Amino acid sequence: MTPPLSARDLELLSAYLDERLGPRERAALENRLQSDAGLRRELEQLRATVQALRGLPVLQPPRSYTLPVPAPSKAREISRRPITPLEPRLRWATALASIAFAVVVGADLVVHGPLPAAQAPAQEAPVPLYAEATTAAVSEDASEAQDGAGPAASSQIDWWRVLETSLAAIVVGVSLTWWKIRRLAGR
Amino acid sequence: MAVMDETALIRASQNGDREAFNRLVVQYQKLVYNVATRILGEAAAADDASQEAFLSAFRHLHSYRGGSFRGWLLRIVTNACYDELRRRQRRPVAALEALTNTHPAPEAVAALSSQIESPDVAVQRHELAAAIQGCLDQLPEAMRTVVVLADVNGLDYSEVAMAMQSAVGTVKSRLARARGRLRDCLQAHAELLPAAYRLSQGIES
Repeated sequence: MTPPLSARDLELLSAYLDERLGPRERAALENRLQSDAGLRRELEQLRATVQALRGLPVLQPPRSYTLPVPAPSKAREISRRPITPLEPRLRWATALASIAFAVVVGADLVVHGPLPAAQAPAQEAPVPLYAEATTAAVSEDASEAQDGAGPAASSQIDWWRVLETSLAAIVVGVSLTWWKIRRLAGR
Repeated sequence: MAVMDETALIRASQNGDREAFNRLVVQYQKLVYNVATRILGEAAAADDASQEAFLSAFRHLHSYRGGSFRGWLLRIVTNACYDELRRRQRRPVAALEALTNTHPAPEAVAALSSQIESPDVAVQRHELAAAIQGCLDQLPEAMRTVVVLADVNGLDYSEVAMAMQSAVGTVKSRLARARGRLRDCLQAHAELLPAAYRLSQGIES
């Protein structure tokens, strides 16, 4: 009966099968194998064991393990699609009008300053007095007009306010149109 | 899959790209499932462990720092299998049920059915696969894992070391001991083994 294989020899044979021995160890083991029938037998048994393991059938997974990829939501998909060819233009128009409105209001404040405090009490003044003042102003304007003071009359028109009002109207108009289109599209 | 492709897919996956990660899953799912089945010895548990391993891999991709992605992935799989084995130890009844339902017999038979061989040979191959799995099941966890990775699935020592978080020297010695134990176990099924095995036994006896 052959003596049981030592742990060291088992490791050497195992590494030899995997071609993991250095040249010197390999040569020494091959010399021993030539003269030791028991060692050769052990090697062949180990080789057969490894072959049997490598010959195990490859199993097919019962399903795929891929992760679910979240699909883009319907609402998000719809919102990405333009409703009308005008959509980009309307967006730009709204943005530009808003910017222009802000610039004009800002410039108005810089040029004219805030509203004079004296105007506030005037609004609270009794109606007759206000009426008188208005009448006086109107008659003054009329006399100036009669005197042919055209440029003075036109300076009474506050162009800043006109511009501001126009831009505000554009912003509101475009926004409302845009809102209406989106509503009609069912978003 | 080319190395560059895999690197790009891993980077995209690390940025949350599930489609890129799924390409890696498709590449490795057969290997992962086979490793899990051989370690756990049961198809249903291996299925669960494989699923859990891929989910865990996706969640922990940020911890991958290069090197063999296959080795890194297999470390997660083996950990998932060890978790399952520990659960079985806590629930011995479930473990017994698992063992009685074990062995990849249906899969092995299905694999064999696609090959052209006689029914006798198919049955013999099936019996051999069952015998080997039975012997694998008797090994301690670490030895079983090293044999499954190196011999059954053909990984080299360094990848096995990465998967098992151990030194190459440890892998080498564990593999030798595991092969020795399997050789002893399979002697009981020598008639199923290749001719070389029977011949060597004949010489001895």
